[in-house]
Amino acid sequence: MGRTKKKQLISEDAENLNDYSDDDDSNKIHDQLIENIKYFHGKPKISPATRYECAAEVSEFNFRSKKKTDYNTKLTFHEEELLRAIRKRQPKVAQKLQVVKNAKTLPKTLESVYERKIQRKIGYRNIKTDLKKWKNVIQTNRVADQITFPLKTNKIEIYNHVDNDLFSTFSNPTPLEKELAKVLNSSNVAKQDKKKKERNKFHYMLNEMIQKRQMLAKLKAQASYKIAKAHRQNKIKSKKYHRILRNEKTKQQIKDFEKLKETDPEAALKQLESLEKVRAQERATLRHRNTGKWARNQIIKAKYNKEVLNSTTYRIYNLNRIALSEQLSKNRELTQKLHIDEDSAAEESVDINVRIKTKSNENDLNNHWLDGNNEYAHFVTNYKKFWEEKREKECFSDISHKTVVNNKNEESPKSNLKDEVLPQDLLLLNQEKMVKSKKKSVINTAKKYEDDKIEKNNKNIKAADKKKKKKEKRKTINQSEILSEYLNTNDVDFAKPEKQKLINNLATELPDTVLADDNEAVDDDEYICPASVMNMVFTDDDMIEEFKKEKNEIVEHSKAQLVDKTLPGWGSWTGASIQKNNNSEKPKRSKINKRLLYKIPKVPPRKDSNKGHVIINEDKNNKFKEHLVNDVPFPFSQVKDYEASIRAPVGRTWLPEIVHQQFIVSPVVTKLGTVIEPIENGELLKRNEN
Amino acid sequence: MKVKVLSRNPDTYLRETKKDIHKIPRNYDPNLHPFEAPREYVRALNSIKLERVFAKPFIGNLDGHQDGISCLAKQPHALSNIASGDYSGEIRVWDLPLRKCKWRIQAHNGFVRGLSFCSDNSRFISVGQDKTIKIWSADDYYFKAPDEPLSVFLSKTLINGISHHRKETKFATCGDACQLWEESRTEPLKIMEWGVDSLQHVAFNPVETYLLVCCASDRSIILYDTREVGPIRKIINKMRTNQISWNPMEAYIFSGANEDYNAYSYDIRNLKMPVNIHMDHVSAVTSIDYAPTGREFVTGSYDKTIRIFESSKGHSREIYHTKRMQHVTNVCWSLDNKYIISTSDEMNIRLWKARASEKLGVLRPREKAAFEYANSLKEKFAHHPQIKRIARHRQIPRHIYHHKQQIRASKQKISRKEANKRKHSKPGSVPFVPERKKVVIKEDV
Repeated sequence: MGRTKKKQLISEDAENLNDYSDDDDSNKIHDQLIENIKYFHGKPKISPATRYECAAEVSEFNFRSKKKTDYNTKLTFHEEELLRAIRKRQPKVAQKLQVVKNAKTLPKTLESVYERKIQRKIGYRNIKTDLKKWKNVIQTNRVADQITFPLKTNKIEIYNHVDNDLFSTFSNPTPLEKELAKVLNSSNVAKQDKKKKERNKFHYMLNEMIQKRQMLAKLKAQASYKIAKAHRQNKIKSKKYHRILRNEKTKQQIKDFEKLKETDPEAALKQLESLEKVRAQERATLRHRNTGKWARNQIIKAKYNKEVLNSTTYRIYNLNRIALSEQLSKNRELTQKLHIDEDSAAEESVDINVRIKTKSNENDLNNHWLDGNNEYAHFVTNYKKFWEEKREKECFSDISHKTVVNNKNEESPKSNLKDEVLPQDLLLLNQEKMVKSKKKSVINTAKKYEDDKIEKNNKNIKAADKKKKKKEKRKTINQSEILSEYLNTNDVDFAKPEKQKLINNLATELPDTVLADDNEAVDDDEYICPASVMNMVFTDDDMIEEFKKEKNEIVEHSKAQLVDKTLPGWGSWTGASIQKNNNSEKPKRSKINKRLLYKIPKVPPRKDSNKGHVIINEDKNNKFKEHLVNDVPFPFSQVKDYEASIRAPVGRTWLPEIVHQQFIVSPVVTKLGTVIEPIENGELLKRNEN
Repeated sequence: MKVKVLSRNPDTYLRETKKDIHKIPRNYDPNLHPFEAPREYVRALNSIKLERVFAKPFIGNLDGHQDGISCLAKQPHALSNIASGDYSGEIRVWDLPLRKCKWRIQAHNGFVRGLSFCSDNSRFISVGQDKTIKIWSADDYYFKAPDEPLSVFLSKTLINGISHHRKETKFATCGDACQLWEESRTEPLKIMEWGVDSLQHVAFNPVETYLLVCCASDRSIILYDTREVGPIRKIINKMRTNQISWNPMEAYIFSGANEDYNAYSYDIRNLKMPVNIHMDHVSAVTSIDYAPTGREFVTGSYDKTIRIFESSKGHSREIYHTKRMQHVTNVCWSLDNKYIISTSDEMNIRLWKARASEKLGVLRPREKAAFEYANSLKEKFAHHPQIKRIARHRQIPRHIYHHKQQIRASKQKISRKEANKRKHSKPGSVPFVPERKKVVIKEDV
């Protein structure tokens, strides 16, 4: 069907062609022909809409497709021609046209979904950065001790002059007022005022500058005074002056320490320890070989003793000299490493003794805590004594008593010498306090001892020699064993075991300097290492007995007691202060008493009854427990801190009013009936100003 | 004869003027005042007991609504008035000092969805089920007789909530989309959409006033920038957020009342997880409002209780309930930081004290000092078990008590199961995920 139709059409066209051969019509016919030809290739596509009038709506459907039509090719042809013409005649325009032609088309826009996504991302990022400005303000407000609402912000308000109530109250000046103002302003007084104001402006600045300069100059001068003073003081050579200065300093420090002791005893003890550590370190440097007080004393003593040559003093002089030389040689040795041989052990033991002795005797001039300052040393030792005493009082006191008794019993038949020496050794058991208190007697005994030794050259001499050796080596020997040895001094020869002990101890021994700062210990040999004291305490068997005794006491105490419920009868007085008279009518009463005695029912056996080494406290009061805090609450990390915070009172019973007020400030303060507005931007500004 | 007389210098004990401070000779020697800590502990114990004795938070009840109350609005710059709307479409304005209804009107057909006062207190806007937005005057003389609204806008879609800009005459509504309106124009200035069909609640940021937050029925919270961009971020939670309140003192913090019994505080700079989880309610949290100090907020819940949370803490410091109060629909914290107002399903508005044992009214200086001292003592000994116990002790309704136990049991069960799983699998394969990280499922860009 279609084909036949087409054929018909063509034939018709051909007829038409023949019919109208005019020029005007030929075009029409031509177009029609072309259109008809198009039908050979199927239906023609929708022709692009041609616009005749301008429309408000621009629809996407109205745009042309980009396909080149014949019409377009024609047009481009024309365009080319036109361009060529233009290039020749108008080169500038041609250039511009070229630019347009070269311009690339923009890339396709993103799909709206992705576009919005990007927008959101950017928007969020911007807001995040914008809000950062609040961070500091918010943080400070959060941690503020006290914050008052409503916040006092610097509100920025821009007043509009036109419609502002503030200025509405002012009326325009009347002509008379204007006139008056003119006259007044032109007066001399007014002019002068103006000038003054201007001048004052600068004057104020000048004043300020001058003040500032003066301040600076003053500060500088003060600084220079201080420097000069220090310089002067340093240059003073007078020893007395420096001594006084030093004494003042130490006194001040002691005062401070006393204060600290009252306020915070633990800290005080710590400070004490640190001081000792410093001193020990200083000692360990071995800088002061023969400059110490002891060394100088030795030299002096040796000198005087040389002049008066007695049998006894000569010996002392020799002793002095030997001691000093030994010390010096020891210094050299001590700077090298120790090599311990069994053969040389005995000699070394002597050396080390000397060393320790010298250390305890030396006085350090450079250490202002120690140099010749007996007052301070006293204080330090006393304080330390106090603390250690407190700690170990219970376990020590009984032991020492017992040993004293034992010793006395055993050694009663012995010589005077023994009796005199005895207390020295007993001191080992006790605290330093005892050492101090008996120091003088110890010195005496030491002297006596020397004399006695010379006098008695027979049987006793041997024992005495041993005694002396032992004394010298005391520091290195385990004290508990000394005690046991001491108990059988007479018959046992302890030279050998001592040596062995020395060897053992030398390897581990360190020069102990804890006690070395007491100057009284210069002459005597008493030197006790606290570590060894502790050793001795825990090796002692008496501790166990002591414990048993304590436990027995507790058990006895906890046993149910009989309760006497007798009431005063006829003819007997009663009242608060009247005691029961049991003496009279004793046999009579006893019968009645038995009946009236309240017997407490049997209680289950104590929890620690079958545990020999434990005391379990059964009458612990559990009522306290429910009031006690279990853990350290959050802001605190240590129990100590939390306890301190609880211990510190806040009430006005204990604190002055102002302090009390400061302690009880409420974190949030609001004003009654006032609206609290949200935070303003002004808050940010305020911070910036500050 | 010589007579000895005690003589003192009057300067030491007499005041110069009548208004001078009394001179009180004191001896602060600590030996004279022993047992500081134990004595203060006893004082703290007494004061905490007294606090519980005087804890009577309920002030009064405003009744008059004929139906459950759906919305509540407070004035942004004044204390005395509040407005409430109910399920029957009636709006009432209340005078709080007198505890009386000032004005009432049948405003909408269907229930009143939202109410919001304008920035200058002079008007308030209501939105209703009937898709209308009505602007009403809030002047006192206007209240004398019921009248027509100042203007009425018709919306194309249903509106669920409204929030007024704090400074300008703009307001935002939420419904099918978040719309930004100007009071003088009948068409929205801007429609901000982000693929959700229904938004429940909208809230303008009171500090950075261009920020807006909406919560939607698809469990999401959407953040908007009203200036140019529109929606900027969306987070999807495990469950739906019912209401949102901005912290008025911290520009980037807001808290949401969630359907999963918790309230969550978010920092908009980091929305991946909430800053804090506030738990304690035993049913869906329906409403939330910040205290003007930003330190605390109040939540109302479907479990018929109101709870007060400190914004930095996970558990509530206070619970309010009465026998007759039903599901709480709205809560609001008065702007003087003193009172809490709650509305509930059973047609009543209740007034509460924000601090249960606080003495109302003007305090004399000595009274004030005594309270301050008591407070500081309570704080000092707060960790002592007895004090903690007394401070925490509350009488709560039985159903809440039981619910709480149930919730605890179920939580324990979950954690136990997880622990078992962890125990019996390869180390590291079942990681420990903190509770906060479980809340936000997705953060949409």
